[in-house]
Amino acid sequence: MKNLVGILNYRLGNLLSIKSAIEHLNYECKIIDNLNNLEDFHCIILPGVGAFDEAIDYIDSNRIREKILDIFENKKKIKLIGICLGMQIAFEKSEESIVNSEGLGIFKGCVKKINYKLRPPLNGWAKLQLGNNINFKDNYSFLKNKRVYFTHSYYCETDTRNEIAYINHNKFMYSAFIIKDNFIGLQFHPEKSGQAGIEILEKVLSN
Amino acid sequence: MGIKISYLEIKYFLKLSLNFRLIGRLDIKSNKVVRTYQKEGFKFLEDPLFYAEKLYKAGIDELIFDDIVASLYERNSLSSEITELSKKIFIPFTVGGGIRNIEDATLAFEKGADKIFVNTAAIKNIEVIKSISKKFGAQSIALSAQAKKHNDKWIAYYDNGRENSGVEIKDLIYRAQDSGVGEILLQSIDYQGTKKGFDFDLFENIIDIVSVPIIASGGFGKVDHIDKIIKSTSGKVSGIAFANIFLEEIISIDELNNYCLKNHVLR
Repeated sequence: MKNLVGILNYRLGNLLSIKSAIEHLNYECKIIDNLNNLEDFHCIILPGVGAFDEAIDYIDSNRIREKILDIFENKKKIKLIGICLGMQIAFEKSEESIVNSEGLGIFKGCVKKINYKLRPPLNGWAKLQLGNNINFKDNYSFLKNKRVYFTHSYYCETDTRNEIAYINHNKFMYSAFIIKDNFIGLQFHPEKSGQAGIEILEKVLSN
Repeated sequence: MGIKISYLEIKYFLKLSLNFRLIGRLDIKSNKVVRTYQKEGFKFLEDPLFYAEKLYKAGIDELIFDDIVASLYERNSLSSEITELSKKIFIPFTVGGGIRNIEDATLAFEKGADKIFVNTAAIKNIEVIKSISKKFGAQSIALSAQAKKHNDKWIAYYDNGRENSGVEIKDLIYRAQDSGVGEILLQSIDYQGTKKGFDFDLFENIIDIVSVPIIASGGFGKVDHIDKIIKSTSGKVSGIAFANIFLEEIISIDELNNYCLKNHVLR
């Protein structure tokens, strides 16, 4: 099995934490500017920093969109992992976008702004609840009640078929861990969620 | 035996957007952690990494690194420590002290900081907050506000609590929120290091104008202070930051966790 993980650099901030966490798990890790030479990669991470418009702009001006969709649609044996913003760009659009940027459209729907009454950004920890799709119950039961770290002002709602875990905070519910074929989306930051996060990242990379 | 739901729990569910956070604060001078009293450093201790690893293993939620003299001498010195930390510690950390402009902030993020805070820069040049928030997002920048009471008003101080800005704390909070900070760390200089409790009047006084997460700091010394700070902020405080209770080994993180569990403080 290939053990090389690539982190796509949209040039929007800290990639060191996710790189450190992956290396901590004994994977080789490269920060990459494009998706031109993919043969060696086991997994590509779309990281969680920056804003929706800037990330999409980088992806489109560097012809990355079609590469990501090619990996996704043709079920290439490369896993795509979107973290936080990296998951949000996989939706069709986002209320964060000022110029109405088009998301990757892997998941249906629009990323929404968190109600101002909840005083976003939400920074902090919450426990994962398992979603209702019984097909995931065996492989992902370890996620139940894992306490993980979030920092976000926008959230996603997903079809329960694709939802492995969610957050329910006083009836405010949103997707935390979603999957569609070889695309995995995490709203939380596994690289910032302590031992629980490292364990989740290990399972996601090795599954 | 019925199901007991405390007043506290109900308040939490209504007011807090995420769980209550316990944050370890490390004041750093010449690359060593220092113990401070009313913001004055008086005892040099071990390296930041030593405490950071200890707190990480004990289950702390987050760490704050404050280079307490950086803004006085206008230098950046935390960067190599941050990189070292981000290889070993997988929880969020906020870095500050001497961040004057967007270049300083960019460097801190590149070195591995998740969030930065500004204090002196927020008073001298509020535009700094706007530019950092716009580029890196509101969640990446916090205001560190340091309050000292003069008669019946709280005044914002800067240069690690040494200089009086003449600006009321409330005004500084308003300005910083308008400029896009995603969090406020509010510390009482009068109470810092005293362990007699947070400046509860201060928090009660400002809480209604706060529209982003707020962290209370300065004076934590007993577990009961958690309950008091929650009550004095009507459940709106997002967490507490503390230093001396673990530097002097007065309360362990386990004890804090147990206290929260017993008192229905959602963690």
